[in-house]
Amino acid sequence: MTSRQSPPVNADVVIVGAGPAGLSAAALLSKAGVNVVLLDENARPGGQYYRQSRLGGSLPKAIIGLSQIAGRDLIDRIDLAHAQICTDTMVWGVENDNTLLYSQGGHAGRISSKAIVLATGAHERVIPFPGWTLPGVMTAGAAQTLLKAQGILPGKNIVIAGTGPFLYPVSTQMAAAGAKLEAICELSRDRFWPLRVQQPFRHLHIYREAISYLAKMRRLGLRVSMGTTVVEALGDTALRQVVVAEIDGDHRELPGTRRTIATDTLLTSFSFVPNVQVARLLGCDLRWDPVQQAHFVNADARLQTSRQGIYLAGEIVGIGGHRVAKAEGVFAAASVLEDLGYKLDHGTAAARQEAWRTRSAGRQFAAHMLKSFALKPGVFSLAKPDTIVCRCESVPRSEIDYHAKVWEGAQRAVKQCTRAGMGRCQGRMCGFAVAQLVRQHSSAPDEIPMPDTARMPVKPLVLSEAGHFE
Amino acid sequence: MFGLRVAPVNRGVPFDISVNGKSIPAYPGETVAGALLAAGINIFRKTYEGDRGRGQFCGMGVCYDCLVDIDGRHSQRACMTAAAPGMMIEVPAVLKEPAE
Repeated sequence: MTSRQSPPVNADVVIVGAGPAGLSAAALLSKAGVNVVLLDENARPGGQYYRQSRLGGSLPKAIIGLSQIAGRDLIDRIDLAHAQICTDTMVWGVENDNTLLYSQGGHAGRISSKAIVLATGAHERVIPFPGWTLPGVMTAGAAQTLLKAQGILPGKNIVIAGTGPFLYPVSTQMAAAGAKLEAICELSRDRFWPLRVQQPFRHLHIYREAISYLAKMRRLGLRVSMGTTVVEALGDTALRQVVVAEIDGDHRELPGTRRTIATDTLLTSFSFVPNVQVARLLGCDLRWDPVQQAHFVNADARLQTSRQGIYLAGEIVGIGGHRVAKAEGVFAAASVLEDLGYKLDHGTAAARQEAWRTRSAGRQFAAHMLKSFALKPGVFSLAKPDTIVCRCESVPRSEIDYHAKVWEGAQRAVKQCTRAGMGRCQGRMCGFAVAQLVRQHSSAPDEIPMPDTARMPVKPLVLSEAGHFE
Repeated sequence: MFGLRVAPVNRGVPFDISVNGKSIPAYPGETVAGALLAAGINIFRKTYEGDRGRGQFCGMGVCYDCLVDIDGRHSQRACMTAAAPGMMIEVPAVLKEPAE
């Protein structure tokens, strides 16, 4: 059904990203008879949360939860008479306000449209610590993707370290699939943060979900160690041991609390950073988020960006989770419909109103959650002078510190001198940590840092692919 | 031995892919990274500086650390490439066994 369709040259609306936000936007637009094309780099639509199985069958519900089924329902709601889902399709550039450049199966192409919805999502934020580049250390998202899509565990003995509610589903799913969870380390010591949210009655479904996870974890014998984190990963060629320790309120290691655990797999998850590169290429204004210490894309009350005809939904607006993303997909799609000259029928108008309520409540809860799990500066002292910070270019912390001192915290100068953030991933992995390390040497550390420039191609491309272009 | 493939899934009929000349099994729908990890191979490439091993890290096509050579094409993301019957994969970090 959705296997490798080639994108057409034109569409009414192009949606980038087939996660909860992109899929719900496509469902609404296709149902209204608008000709929509959904582009996604993955082999199946669904994104991270609704990640679909790539195998012949699905995993049992006990392992993957309800998300795969909910995702399939949403995908089925897209009217394929008006929509095309193009998977394995990577958007890497823009030609002008309404033309995107992509690559699929080694061939580059362009697609023009009257409107673009960016639903490019987020990926995991990483914190460098000694040994984090060893094989066997990966993000919690990587492990979850491997399990949900292919029914494969990343290892037999797993340590999970990081911060935020994402640790809970990941550890539950790994344990339910048969892995032994050696430790679950949460930076924060605050167990009761959900109770301090304002207007708690708006979030009863979240409490229900949380309670069900806690019950599952209890059944599986999983315990979260609050106020602890990974301080070192050890191994000659691949991971063999993980050292965990207690941390203080500034997220700094407490001396004398180290504990060594033999394990083959370490998963880390320190919240998320948005994929804003395509929006940057399109010239959309950004918004600095002081809690996440990251640039997101700015959206108006109708989820339109600073560029006319370009809309947003989901994590690139702000980290908010699948419910918010799905609701914003509906809301952004309704704005697109209006701007294309359609009159919203009664059902669509009601759906939009409902989506806005879900979105506002979800964003309110997310803001409280993100604040509760905000990183403290001490966490960056996990990286020692010889710890690699930029994985692609193998740049150690000492080099970043040296140039940051020389250039008094000027981000761009440090980047040019060290090449940190200039490798294949273009700073998507190390960018956050590098910026935080560099600003420690700035005379105005609270100044909003300049966002990294986005350049085409936003992801590596074989020269022959781009060469097909006239 | 504890297999990393979780049991109760309909996986279909396995096929062989070649890793540095040695056969390992893969199931329809698996990625190259998935098949390698399930075969117990988690070191994929070595860095230019210091010859340090790297493997799958982000698992979603962002970090470019899981690069292997596939059917003569260099530096392909193992986590984003579907395994296919007869695929020839060169994993730079895996030592070739001496020819018999």
